[in-house]
Amino acid sequence: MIYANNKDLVVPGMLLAEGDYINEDGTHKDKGQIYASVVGICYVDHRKIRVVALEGKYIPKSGDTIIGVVTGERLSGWTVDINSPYFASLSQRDIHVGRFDTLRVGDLVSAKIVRVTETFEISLYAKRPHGRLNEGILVEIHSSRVPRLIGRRGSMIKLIKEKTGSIISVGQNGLVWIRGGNEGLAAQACQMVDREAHIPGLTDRVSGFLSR
Amino acid sequence: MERVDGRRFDELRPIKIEAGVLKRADGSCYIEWGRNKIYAAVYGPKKVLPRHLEKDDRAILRCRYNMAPFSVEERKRPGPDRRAVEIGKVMQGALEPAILVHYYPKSMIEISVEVVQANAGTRCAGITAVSVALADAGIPMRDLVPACAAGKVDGQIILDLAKEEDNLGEADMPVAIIPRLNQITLLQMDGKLAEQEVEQAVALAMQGCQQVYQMQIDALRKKYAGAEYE
Repeated sequence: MIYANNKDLVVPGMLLAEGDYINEDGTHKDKGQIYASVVGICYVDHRKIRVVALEGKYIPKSGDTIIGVVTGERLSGWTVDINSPYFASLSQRDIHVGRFDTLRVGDLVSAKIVRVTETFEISLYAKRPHGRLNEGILVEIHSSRVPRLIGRRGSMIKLIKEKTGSIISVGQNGLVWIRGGNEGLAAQACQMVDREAHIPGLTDRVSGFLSR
Repeated sequence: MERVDGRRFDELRPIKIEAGVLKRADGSCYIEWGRNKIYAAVYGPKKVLPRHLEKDDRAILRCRYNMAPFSVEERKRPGPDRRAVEIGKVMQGALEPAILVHYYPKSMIEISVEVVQANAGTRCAGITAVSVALADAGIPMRDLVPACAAGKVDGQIILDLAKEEDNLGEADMPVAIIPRLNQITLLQMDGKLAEQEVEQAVALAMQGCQQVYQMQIDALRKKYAGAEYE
């Protein structure tokens, strides 16, 4: 028995389904009943039910590409702040820096999360195509709005890149790195997406904003 | 029986809830409950400070309740006092069972409740506001936690005491529940009630909580109305 419709707005504690269904992200199961655990949009795909959260901190997942800030040095690596409740660690052998070069505290790195343990010890991998990000500016948005910034098959980010001529790299954790072209305009566009993510007709408004 | 503000015995004061009012907090809520005016803010999950409070298997909850010096009739000395610490503690206890704390081990959720104007029933209004703020912060929960008080005035059990009733009445009993499980997470009482009256008061308060629960849902719905994704 299913109680929620596809693309419904749900709030925590709302009964979504009962019986033979599989609960995924944003939901929890209690005595055979599936409930929403966050505010979000409910998606029903055959027997699978998930809720895409509209708010929330970034929680690391293996396979995600993120942007982090180096916060400390260790014997054979670095600790990296990935804009989440947990620090990540990057080993020296997992990043390629020049022979006379190194990572310093405050540097930006783009990396992939390779492993997240049960207690949230996080390992990063930052060899090509990832690695240190030189120059450029950093913009922070809500991690829950990252899918909107990228858009359907990258449409939104492609639009911003084309109109501003910048190189933009978006981390799943909500940090966005922008270099070259009209950096300021690109940053403003990112912030606009962050602010108005839930209002329909976003692509048109961003396009209008960038053309002005 | 006629109440001071002309309400029926089972009628709540007018309640207005608004989610997401503070820009700097991860989640926030403003509530007007009769003449109570309260802000709730939620931060986190974030790294635990001080470190020794860290729990390996779950997130910890830190609650701070504070009354503004101008929130009551006679200026209140600013800063935490015995009462504020106690209310912070019971709020934490009321909210924790509803939060899926084991999702975020080794982290901390910070809750701040600021009473701008008080008129009896601030802890109930506070808990109600905080659970909306928690949802607004995207923290996974089993359910929202509505709270509401019942009490005894002039020998009759009534819902949601106002300041005058609280001062003159015989008993006041705040209750917070998890509506979906019908479980009580907060139950306090001051004053005297007979065994039978306690049961009556709890039942009445839980009824009131269900009404508050609907208003919480409406507040969250209102903020995100028309939201779309992907």
